[in-house]
Amino acid sequence: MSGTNSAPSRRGRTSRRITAEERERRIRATAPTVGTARAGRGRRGLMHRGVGHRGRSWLALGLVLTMFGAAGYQLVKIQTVDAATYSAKAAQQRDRTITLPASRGTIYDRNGTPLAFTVQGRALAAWPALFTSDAQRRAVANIVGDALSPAVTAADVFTKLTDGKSKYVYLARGLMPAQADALEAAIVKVVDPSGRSPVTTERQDLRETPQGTTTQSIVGTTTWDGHGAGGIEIKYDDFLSGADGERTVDTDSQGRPIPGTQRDETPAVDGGNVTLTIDADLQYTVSKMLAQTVADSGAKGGMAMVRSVTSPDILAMSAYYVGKTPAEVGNMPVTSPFEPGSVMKAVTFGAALEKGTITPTTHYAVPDKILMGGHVVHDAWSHNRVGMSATGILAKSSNVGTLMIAQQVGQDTFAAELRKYGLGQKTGIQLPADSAGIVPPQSQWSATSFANLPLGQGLSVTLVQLSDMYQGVANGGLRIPPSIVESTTKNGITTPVPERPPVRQLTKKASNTLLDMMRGTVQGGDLMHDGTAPGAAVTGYQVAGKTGTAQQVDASCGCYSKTKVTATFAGVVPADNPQFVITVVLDAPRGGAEGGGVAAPLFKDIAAYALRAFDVPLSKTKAPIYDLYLNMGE
Amino acid sequence: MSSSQAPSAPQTPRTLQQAQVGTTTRAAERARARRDRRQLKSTPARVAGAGRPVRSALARVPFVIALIVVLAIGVGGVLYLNTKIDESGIRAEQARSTTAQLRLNIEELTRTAADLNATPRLAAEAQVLGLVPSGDAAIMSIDANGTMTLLGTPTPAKADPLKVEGQ
Repeated sequence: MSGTNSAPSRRGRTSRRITAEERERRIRATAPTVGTARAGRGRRGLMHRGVGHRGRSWLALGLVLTMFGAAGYQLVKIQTVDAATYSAKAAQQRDRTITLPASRGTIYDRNGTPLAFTVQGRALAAWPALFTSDAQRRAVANIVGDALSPAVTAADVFTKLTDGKSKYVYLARGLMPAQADALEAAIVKVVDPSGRSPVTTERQDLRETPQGTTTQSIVGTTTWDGHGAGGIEIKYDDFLSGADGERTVDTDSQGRPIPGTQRDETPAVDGGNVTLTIDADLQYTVSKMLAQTVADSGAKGGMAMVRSVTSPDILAMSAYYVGKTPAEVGNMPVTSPFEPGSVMKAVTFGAALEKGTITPTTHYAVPDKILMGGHVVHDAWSHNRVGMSATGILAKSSNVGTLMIAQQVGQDTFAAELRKYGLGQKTGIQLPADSAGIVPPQSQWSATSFANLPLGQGLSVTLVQLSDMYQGVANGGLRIPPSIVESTTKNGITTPVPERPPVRQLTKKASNTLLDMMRGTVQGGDLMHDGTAPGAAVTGYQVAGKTGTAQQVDASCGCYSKTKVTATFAGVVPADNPQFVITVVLDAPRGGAEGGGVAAPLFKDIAAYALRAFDVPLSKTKAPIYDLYLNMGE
Repeated sequence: MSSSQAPSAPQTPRTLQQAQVGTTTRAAERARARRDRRQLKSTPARVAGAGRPVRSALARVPFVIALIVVLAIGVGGVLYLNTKIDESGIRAEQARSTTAQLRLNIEELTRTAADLNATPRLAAEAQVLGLVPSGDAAIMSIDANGTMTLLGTPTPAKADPLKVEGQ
């Protein structure tokens, strides 16, 4: 303003004058004469420029206003209406969200040996369309084929690159990072290195199972995207998986992250670890011994398991079927109930001991056969009416003698006892497809049921249920529900799996007596003293056990097969200081071999290994010799 | 205040210039004098002193220099900090990639260790060395008195009892 009012005087005066002029204007602005004065001035200004300019000015003003309007419209539109779209677009061009993959947890055995753990792996993938020629594709196929043969062949890779089925194909999975990087580097040399590379590597974690197939059924496997497919992997999938994190970064024109632009970071939460009760060495040994026995006995397959007497821990659990993969067999001790046969006689004896109808030495005159419910039951071997002790009936596994004892116990007591052993109920083990087995309730019993059930026919149990039952017998009548998971660990905090309350299935006295009586089974010696399974005896340790040979149902006639049996053995070692329950089942061994013949030696092998591996002290005394036959004819 | 005067003095000149060039009435003179007095009263001294001589303007130079220096230091400092931040950003990025690489190494080593320590591999190695499981071997039991008792019958272990592979 001071410039326009170019006063001739000094600056100080000018400034004063301006102020004075300002004030005067304000005075006039409020005065009634102002209107005319201003109008006069305005007219004079226009007259100076001339009337012809007037239209042009309006035009210019209109033009400017239109432009401002357009700009304003765009401004408002971009800033408000389309704001979200544009900011998203901008973010897309600039931001990149990097996934921070969570590592899947490790599954350990009871000694901390890793059974399944995750390492970073890479998948090699390609955009077939980005190759410039088939020659290039051929060259790349050869590089991949040479490096990964025989898992991946050059021909396969070439087909994938040329069949045009997919825009993005995986050439190889399960590579180690170094291997993948080397492959990618080799490929980039072949293709035009200046352009966009047609191959890339992707992170795909590898699940390592160093123990191989012996623990596969229990641990389970994972799919290529790292989720559980069976066993503990699926049962604990959420816990093992963890949660992926992410981080946003700005990227440059090449898509590389700009340093210092990391933000919005959500850290990945790694999955927790699971510790099993399995002992990897014992598991391996049991698996191998089982497979050996199955092969030697000509059986279709078999199962074996070892569990602790004093804790819920299952130490080893294996199933093997000839010609089937572990994935096909799965956890049969949990999922597949079978008719157990004579190993179930323990229930009758326990009930009788508890009721006081027998003592180990109670004398029975046992005939060759017995009529029950209109059904004649024979002993497995033909004999005259003989004098047997109660221990003898158990140790020699006399069907007739057992039914005589069962009759004294009575149907109601027997049915009640059966329920107490947890049969027909799921064990609650931490594995998928836990089977309850089948135990007919007393209301559904037929006339012959009471002739079958005490002998272990007409009901089915899983191997885990059978083991639990014997664990209860070995533990003074207190059955501890089984567990295959010892603890879970997350963020360094280990949480033991809560123990479920034990269930009393038999009084302590009856239970201990029953266990003692079962030592008779492994007795050797003369006819008067040998039990059904002398082959189960272990040097230096007392063994208590029971054999079982259950006829299998023949599907062709719907009757019990004469030749196909399920041979079982359930035993406790050492009998004087119970540590392990070992149960063994062989499915249809050659020639209808009995439990004592094929299952007992496997039991012995497993027991001999387990007792040494776990440093179990020797039994202080030898087991007493029970008189099984009291006389050979009555 | 002055608005009450305006109608009573219709001949008051419209602008200052007019006032200087045009006719001067007594009343106008008085009015101007009043205004100038008012002006002097209300104008602060520092506004009046806007046009100082060069000497006094030069007296301000050190201050301006000081400002420039502060500005320069500020700009320099910001640039330096920016560089440092970028540098540490790059360092962090490098550290992150080193961490990732080391983690890969750890995983690789863990995997190798686990593979070497795996039961099937140990069993195979033992078999190569000619070792066989002892099975139900005889036991020497030595009591507190040093008396040795032999349990079972010592027999040579069977070679290669676990023939079935691939299970």
